[in-house]
Amino acid sequence: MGMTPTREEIAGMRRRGLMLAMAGTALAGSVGPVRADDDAAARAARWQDLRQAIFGNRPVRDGSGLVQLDAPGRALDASLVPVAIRLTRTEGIKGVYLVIDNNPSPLAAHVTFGPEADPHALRLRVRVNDYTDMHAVAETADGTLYAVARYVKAAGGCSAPAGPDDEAALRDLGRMKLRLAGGFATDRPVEATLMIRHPNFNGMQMNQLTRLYTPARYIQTIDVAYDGGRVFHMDTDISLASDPVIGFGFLPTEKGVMQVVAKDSKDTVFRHSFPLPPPAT
Amino acid sequence: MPTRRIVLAAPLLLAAAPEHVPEPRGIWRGPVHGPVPATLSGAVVLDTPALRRLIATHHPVLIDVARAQVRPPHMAPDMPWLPLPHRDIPGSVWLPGAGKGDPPAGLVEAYRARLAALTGGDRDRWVVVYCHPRCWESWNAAKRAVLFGHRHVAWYPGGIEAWQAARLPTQIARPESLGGGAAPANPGVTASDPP
Amino acid sequence: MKPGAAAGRDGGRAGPGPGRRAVLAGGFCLCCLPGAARSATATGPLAVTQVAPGVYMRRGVDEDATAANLDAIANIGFIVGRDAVLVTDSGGSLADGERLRAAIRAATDKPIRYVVISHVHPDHGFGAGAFRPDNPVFMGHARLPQALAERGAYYRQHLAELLGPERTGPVVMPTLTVADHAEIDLGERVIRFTAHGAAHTTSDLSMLDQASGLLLPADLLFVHRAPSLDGSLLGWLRELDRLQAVGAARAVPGHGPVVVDWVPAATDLRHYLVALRDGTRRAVAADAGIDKAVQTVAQDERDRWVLFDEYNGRNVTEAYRELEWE
Repeated sequence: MGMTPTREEIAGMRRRGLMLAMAGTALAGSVGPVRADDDAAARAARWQDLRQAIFGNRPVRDGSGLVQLDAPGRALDASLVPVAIRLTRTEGIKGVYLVIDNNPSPLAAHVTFGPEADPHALRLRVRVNDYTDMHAVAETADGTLYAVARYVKAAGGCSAPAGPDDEAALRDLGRMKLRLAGGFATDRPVEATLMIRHPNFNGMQMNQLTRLYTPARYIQTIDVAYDGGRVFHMDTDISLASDPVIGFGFLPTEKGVMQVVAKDSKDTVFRHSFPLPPPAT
Repeated sequence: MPTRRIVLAAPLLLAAAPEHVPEPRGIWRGPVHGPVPATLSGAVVLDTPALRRLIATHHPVLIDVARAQVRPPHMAPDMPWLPLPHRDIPGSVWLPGAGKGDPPAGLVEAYRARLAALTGGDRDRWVVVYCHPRCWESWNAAKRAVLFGHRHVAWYPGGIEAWQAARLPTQIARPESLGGGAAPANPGVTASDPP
Repeated sequence: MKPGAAAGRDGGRAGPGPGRRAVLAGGFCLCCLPGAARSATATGPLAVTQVAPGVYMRRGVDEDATAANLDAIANIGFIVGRDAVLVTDSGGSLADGERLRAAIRAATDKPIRYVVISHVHPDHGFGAGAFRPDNPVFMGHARLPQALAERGAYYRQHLAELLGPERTGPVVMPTLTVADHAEIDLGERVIRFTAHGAAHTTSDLSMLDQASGLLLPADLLFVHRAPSLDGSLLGWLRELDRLQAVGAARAVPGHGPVVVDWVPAATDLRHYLVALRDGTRRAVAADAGIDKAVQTVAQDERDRWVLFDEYNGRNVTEAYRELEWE
């Protein structure tokens, strides 16, 4: 990825929610640079390097019976690609890894589950820098790793320029919302979505007016607990999309409080407590 | 300095006509990215076909001055930082930072010495300098080569992207340090370029 | 993530019928009947239609930009006053703008004093370079310079890859910007400008030709071609209300027939935007996620808009991000 605003870099641009939806000019899919790492051998070699870097010599098995990775084949917005990691069983799952092979920071997220979690589905939004394989790797309690892959066409997600609206986002920093799909219950898993306001600047975004790079500032950890019991811990960094939105499951047995603690690379800590069920509005 | 006479047989055309700015006096010290000049006094400006012809006939020294990607600050130590290998024109020497507007002490001297070594001391040997489109560092580095006294300097403003857009083969590049102390600076750390 | 297509459906290209009939006011018309949406070619006269006395428009083709159509995909044209000419949008490329300029010169000797750049999208502003020899005032929304600074180089690079740099032209910045309202007089012909809040884009500028009562909302009004959301969905609905209050009977949309009756056209557009808003709100409330929302929202609108599949998914993604923080 170059340091100037190349076609791919600006292709990922958006202000808060803005997309490059031009009335009628062809975008991604038109003529572009040759992708040197397009062929299967290159992709396999890259994955070998990443496995070594992340898992060392641990064997990684085919996870098709256990893990499913959903991602759009062709992303509509490379700086905001929704992915879902689904598991066919929930017992004995220690955690999951999401790897975006061709991103410069390829380990997009590592989530470890706690006793309050229902890990059957995890949803994230990520930045994708170039056409790439993505890998979801599940780790079972005995430490075995199971991986599946999916190819995603997207480019430029890491270079979305920051502008005045992103600077304005800093004023809203750390605001959080929690949504429950299907309401609160104590007799079944509950699907929740956590939203955190944070621009997740990665240090590679150029402000087009000042032509200076916006300094990096990105979320590094997110801890979610319910009534003091861990739901999940997430390690992440610059591959997570700005204004993170994380879908997850948990298993409440009684009314209680969901506590969220997020920390960013400037060591700023954001905390929020959500009493559940949410008070009637 | 008068514009060099064009020595190649075919006329050299500018690849595109983006908005251009006048040549600064000396080295550009402003923001690195943006509209660049259309010319470089003392050097020729090449588009991709002209560069290919030059490579075929004159075997120039190819200097890539693109900045290297550097790990964002404060990344957790166990989060892997593995940017894809930098690719450039085959046969190039990668000297990230050789075009910096405000270089650390020793960098310019190291660049001068490297160019002298690569050209075998022959000031008539062609030198081509490039990085990315709309990037001043290749202009600066080419300007420096002119100021060092190299008599056949070419600037390729289209850069790696133009080469790739023409579907030409690339090589994986390994960066060389130009001394002067620090490794290439992280653009994410430096919140501003010097005025 | 395209929604399943019904058998026999042509991916959204089978749109509604000719719809609004443009009124041929007689007089100057280089060619064709309204609604003749054929591909522009690199040579050949630019066909304009007189939609009101002294107001001439060229219909853009309902396609994405290609080398063959020169990005002539938006409705562009000019207004002739007693003393001067105003260009309502200059075209999608230098080549497109040059053809418009030739059409103007064939129609009138009056000086081209104003060239409007109605918003940041390239199909409306890349013809502006053709008018530089006329030394006009280039007019745009107060936020247009920033929008062009952010995107102009990228648009230019992309268009140049399609058309070649010599046919693409430069990015032209406005020399006069409008922050709220402005009026200019072409000589017994006052044009009133309104700078809108974020809607189709963040830089939308509309015009009212007071002599004819014709409203020129540019891409705040799409007819026939699927709208693209690149600003604010809620803002667009608000700005449509504002335009409604102007009380114009007829309007020149940014895409579609060169002139339409305002109320039915705005009603159809509002219908789509409301479907987008309400469907996305339901998806947000159900926590469906963007990928599912893209498949389900506003699907009832598909048969009403050309290029629906190409644009609706992106619109839903944009709307989802806007509405999920409500």
